[in-house]
Amino acid sequence: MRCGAFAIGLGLLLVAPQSDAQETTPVDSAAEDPATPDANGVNEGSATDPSASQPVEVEPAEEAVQQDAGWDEEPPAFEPRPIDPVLLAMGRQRGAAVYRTYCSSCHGSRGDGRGPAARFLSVAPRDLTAGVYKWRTTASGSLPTDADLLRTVRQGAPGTPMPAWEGRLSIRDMWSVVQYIKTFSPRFAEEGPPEPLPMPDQTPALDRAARRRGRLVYVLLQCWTCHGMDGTGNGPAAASLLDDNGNPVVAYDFTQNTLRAGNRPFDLYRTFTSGVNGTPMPSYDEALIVGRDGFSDLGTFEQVLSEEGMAELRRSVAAMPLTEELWGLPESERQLWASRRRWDLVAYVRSLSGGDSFWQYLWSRSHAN
Amino acid sequence: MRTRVFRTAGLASAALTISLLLVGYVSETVTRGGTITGSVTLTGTPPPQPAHAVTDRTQVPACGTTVENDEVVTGTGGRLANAVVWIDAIERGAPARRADIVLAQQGCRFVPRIQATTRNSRVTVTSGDPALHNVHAKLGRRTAFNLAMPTKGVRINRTLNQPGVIELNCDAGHTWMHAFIHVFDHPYYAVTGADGTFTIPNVPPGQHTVKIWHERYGIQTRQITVTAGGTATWNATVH
Repeated sequence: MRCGAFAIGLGLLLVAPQSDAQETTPVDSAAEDPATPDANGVNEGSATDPSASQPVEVEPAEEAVQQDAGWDEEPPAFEPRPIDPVLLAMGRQRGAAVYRTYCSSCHGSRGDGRGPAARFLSVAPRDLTAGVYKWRTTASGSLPTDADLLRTVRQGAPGTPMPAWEGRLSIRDMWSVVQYIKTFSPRFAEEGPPEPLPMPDQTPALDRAARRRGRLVYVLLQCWTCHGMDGTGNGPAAASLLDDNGNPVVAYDFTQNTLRAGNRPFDLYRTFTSGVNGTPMPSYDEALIVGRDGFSDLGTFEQVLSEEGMAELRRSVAAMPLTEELWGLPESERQLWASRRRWDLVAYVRSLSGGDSFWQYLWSRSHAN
Repeated sequence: MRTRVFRTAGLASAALTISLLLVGYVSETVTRGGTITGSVTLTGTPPPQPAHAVTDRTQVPACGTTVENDEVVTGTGGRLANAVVWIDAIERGAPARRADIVLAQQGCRFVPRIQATTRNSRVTVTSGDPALHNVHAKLGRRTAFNLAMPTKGVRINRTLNQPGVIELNCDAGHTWMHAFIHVFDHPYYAVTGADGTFTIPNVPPGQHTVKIWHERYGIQTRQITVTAGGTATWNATVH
């Protein structure tokens, strides 16, 4: 197994053209088993989920896989793990050259974010020596995985000067530069590869019903405390937000369609789950495992909701299971329950920017093909 | 005031981290260990600590209209609670046993505000407040974890796998919320109780550097010689 992974990795690094990476990517479970083409895992779960009064609609896996084959896919699991030291050394060497050419003008030759062009930029380049990365699939405070770093290199950071390098650099060069930037912080060597949190491998339909449920998630989890009831980032706590260096930061304005972590639904899902390191945005991972007993006192919400809003909230809370029941569920079903609520929230937040409008939807479909 | 707290925490954290990185702690059986005991007393008048007025109406249902400031807690005769006492950079001694702790959020305060434990112990973070908190834990300037606690009944476990001083705050508008967790590689630490006293038992005989830290009053250091089976006393004062 290890040998196999090593051989594949070596093949990729030494000879594979870019497209090979996708051919050797492990496909998701739905695609692996053609006998069960629809996302039966999700539907099965809804039968036993005590909260599943409204089943989450999921696109047929076939379509989802098609969509995943384009730009929308998660970056492939390119790194053989455990990685061979020779391979890694070669990657870093190549990465250093790539970095010098394409990255150092902003991020600096030492990776400290003080390259010659940095002072002209509207958003300061990341200081790669700190070992603190915002966009991850890992627990709050943890390092990112290689796939996380690779994703950021590939898709860039919309709304900032960091461009998407997809299509400009080969996947091999991007992987190499990821290996190189990991040498700027001792954390990577000290802590070893981080464990990713469970992440979904397909995006369900984010329809009107999901948006409606998602609004209640937004209210209940009090995203509005910072992001505001209208999603513009003007919540009651917004003015006091500081980053880890003590500098004031703003809460995201969801009505702008430039989410730095990326504009795909998955990017929102991921950020919501893992939090944004170095900023006040916390991780909503285990925090979702709370039932109606946690919301027996709705006094906070009476301050911000109308009577009709409160009535809807009470109905929604009453339909929730108890916290104890959620913890009593098998791990996979509990994850599924939390996952649905996250997707609902994603559907709502995207609707604030018109991010899932009809035209956007049409565009993203055709873009995938 | 706030900068002072940060500076103190930062210094303590740096001192701890550096000392523990340079000298790895060696566990062994301590025979005929001694005891370091004593007290911490605040001389003079305790500082005025007005309760924090809650002005944001969305915070009032969970926090009330005022939140008590418990940065300085004194007992009779100015005895100071919540001071952390430890043997600094101790190289060998009794094994550091796992000591799991709970950090609660109650009435928009962290309870307890000051705790100490051993590395690789678990902290269970809970909330009894029907409003959003986020437990933002920083080791030095770096986030160790930042967890949303959207309502009461949420419980989250984390392992404290790095020694140092963890400072905790809440970004969700509760700017007054502060807590500290000191994480040690060794078992030679104590936190003063309401009577301001501390006892550190089973200390290997010899000379030790003992430090006392308080969130507001900073760090004091003293060399203390512990004899086999003996008791060394340090009655510290802060002002």
